[in-house]
Amino acid sequence: MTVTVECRGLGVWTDDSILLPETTFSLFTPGLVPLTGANGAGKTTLLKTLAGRQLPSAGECRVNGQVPNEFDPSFRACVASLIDTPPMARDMTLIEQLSLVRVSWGDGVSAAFSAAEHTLEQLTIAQLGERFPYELSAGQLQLFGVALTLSRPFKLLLLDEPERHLDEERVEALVQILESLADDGGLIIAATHRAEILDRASVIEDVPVRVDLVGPSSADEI
Amino acid sequence: MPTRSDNLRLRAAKGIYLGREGAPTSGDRWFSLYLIVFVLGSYVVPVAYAIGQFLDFELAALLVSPASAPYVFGALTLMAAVSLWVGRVQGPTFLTPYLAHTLLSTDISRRRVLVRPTTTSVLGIGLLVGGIVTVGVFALTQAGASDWVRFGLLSLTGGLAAVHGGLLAFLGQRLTTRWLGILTCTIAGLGGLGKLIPGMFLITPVGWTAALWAGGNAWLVVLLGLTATTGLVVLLVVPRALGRMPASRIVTQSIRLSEARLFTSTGNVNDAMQAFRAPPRHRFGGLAVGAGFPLASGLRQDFVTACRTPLSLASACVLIPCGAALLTLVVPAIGAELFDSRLVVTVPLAVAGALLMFFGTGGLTEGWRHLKNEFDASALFGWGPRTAMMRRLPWPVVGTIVLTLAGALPTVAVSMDAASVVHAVVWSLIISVAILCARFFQSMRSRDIPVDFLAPTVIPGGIDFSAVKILIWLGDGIIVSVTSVLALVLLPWDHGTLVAVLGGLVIVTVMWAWARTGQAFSATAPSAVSDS
Repeated sequence: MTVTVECRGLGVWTDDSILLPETTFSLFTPGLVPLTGANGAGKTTLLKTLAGRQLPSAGECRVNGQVPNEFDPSFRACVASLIDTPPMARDMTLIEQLSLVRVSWGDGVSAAFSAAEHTLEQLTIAQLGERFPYELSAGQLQLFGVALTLSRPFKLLLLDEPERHLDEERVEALVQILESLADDGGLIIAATHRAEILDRASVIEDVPVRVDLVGPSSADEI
Repeated sequence: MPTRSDNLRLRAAKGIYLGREGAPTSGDRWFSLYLIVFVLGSYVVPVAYAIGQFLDFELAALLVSPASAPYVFGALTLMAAVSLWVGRVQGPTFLTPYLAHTLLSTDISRRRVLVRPTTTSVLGIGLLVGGIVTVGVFALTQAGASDWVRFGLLSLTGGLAAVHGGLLAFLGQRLTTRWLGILTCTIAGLGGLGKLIPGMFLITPVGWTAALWAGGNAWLVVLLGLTATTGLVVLLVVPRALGRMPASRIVTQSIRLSEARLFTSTGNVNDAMQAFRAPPRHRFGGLAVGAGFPLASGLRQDFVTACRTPLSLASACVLIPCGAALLTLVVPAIGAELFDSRLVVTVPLAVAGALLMFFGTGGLTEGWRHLKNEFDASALFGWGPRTAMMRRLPWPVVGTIVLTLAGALPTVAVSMDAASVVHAVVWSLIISVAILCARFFQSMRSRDIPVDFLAPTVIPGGIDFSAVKILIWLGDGIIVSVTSVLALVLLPWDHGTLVAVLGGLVIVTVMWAWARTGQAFSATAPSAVSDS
């Protein structure tokens, strides 16, 4: 089963500022979908709304036909997100933390450790498995955050600038992982400014799928 | 090569720094002095006077009698060892991060850069602690335990002891860990010697201070001279030691302290405390993760991670038993009349015990802090909130109860008859449950102060209550701990009261704490949902 995302007139604002202008788009197929827009255009707010962590002020959005609700177990099983820094245990090594996430989703311990090693390898940080989070640089912490998020199952993955602090080589590794996840049937919405990700957007009928937050009153699906 | 003398360069640099926008002016300093005098005159001294009037003469006299010398010696020995290690965390040599980084990377000698802030800090510690001791001795003098000459001597003794403590903290900051260990063992050895062999305690400055405090010694003037001379000699050695003070240690400590101050000022007490927690050590690789029954796998995870932060674990192992021992000493006075003079001792003991236990549980509840982070972030783990909480419950609960009993049982064995044992043990267990509730309550609060707390809250009379709200929010765990312990101390001791107080406390704090998590208790695990 593939996941669908639909937003109709979705907007978020407070008393004195617009966090997300009214936005309409639909995504029906798996793939890597860049979410673009200038700083302050509402990318993070849109991701938070899709993750069920922000209530809309107007319009609605649906994931698999359901209103996002982080208290709904089926929704949580479907949607993974890396919007803020994920919780990290200061006194557990990276490999242990990744394994624990997998164990929490039903993996056996040894399988979880193997898979965690594989994830770190894919992200080119296999050598950091035995380190604690405080022993990482900003870029390594970002990769570890990505690794934590990728360690859990999902159908919809929401990423807020996953390329933050990463060099070109790491961005490339990350994009390859995202592409492979998309090929496996996942829908990945990634807020980004980097051409490496924008250029690898999924293509339908020769047109790259992208959500652009373009202005104070609308957004377009291309 | 520098063309101007080091002193001139230093003066110029400090001149620029002190001339920055927002630097304290002389007016600010005078206002601070005015505030100190105002608080002392209008609150501290009158309260000390009132306590002195209320204090039982025999009890007050006992505190400064020759019989108190061994206890004062023991306490001062412990404080000497603690001062050393406090210095390792934050010593008296302090500059702001910017100044430390800038000045310590120049070719000006470290001795010249650091000598003034160091001596100022050490003497400041002496002045502060001496002032606190003076207020306490003032109360004892009001109770008739000492005359005014003795009052001066005791105050001076307190100040000198504090200067010695500050110098030990300096040594802790300056020395390598190996030397710190050797010095700690030496202090402990001399302390043990002084306890075991009568009169031997007079061979150390700690013993001189204890003898000065306890009085009844014909050589008081000599002891005072020896104590002061020792302090002065060490103070004169300080500049020499500063020459080889590692810059990285000063910079790290000052950055940590300034970050902690910043976090505290914005209400992020957890982040402020985090700055002082020791980093984990690499051990038991891979053993933290286990599958299966949540209680067991959570206990395993928390146990392994606690072993990786031995200082936190050690602090819990020291603070909780000490707190439990103090609280057990209170047992005989439970249910005393409100005007019973024993309350002057039992209430501070109960408060100190509650605080020690509360701070001690911090070393066992890293899992609860992580649990709160887990609740606040996007779903990451495949279990529901109830399971997440169950995983994190056993370690703090079992650990606290075991350590409480470890402190309470020896105290009961030494100080009480057999009939009181059950009574004291039940009391200790009740207290540990109350403290755990308070800790859970605090751990589940939001990371930042709720924004509406910052808005003015005007109560009848036109007074802004917002500062009080913020203070209550910042200290909620401590307030719940101390209040519940005091309620248990002061309320009549019968089963009905116990059930009512404890049951009410547990229900209210746990429900309120759970409300703070923002999680639905009925929510189930996400992994339970099938793929179809």
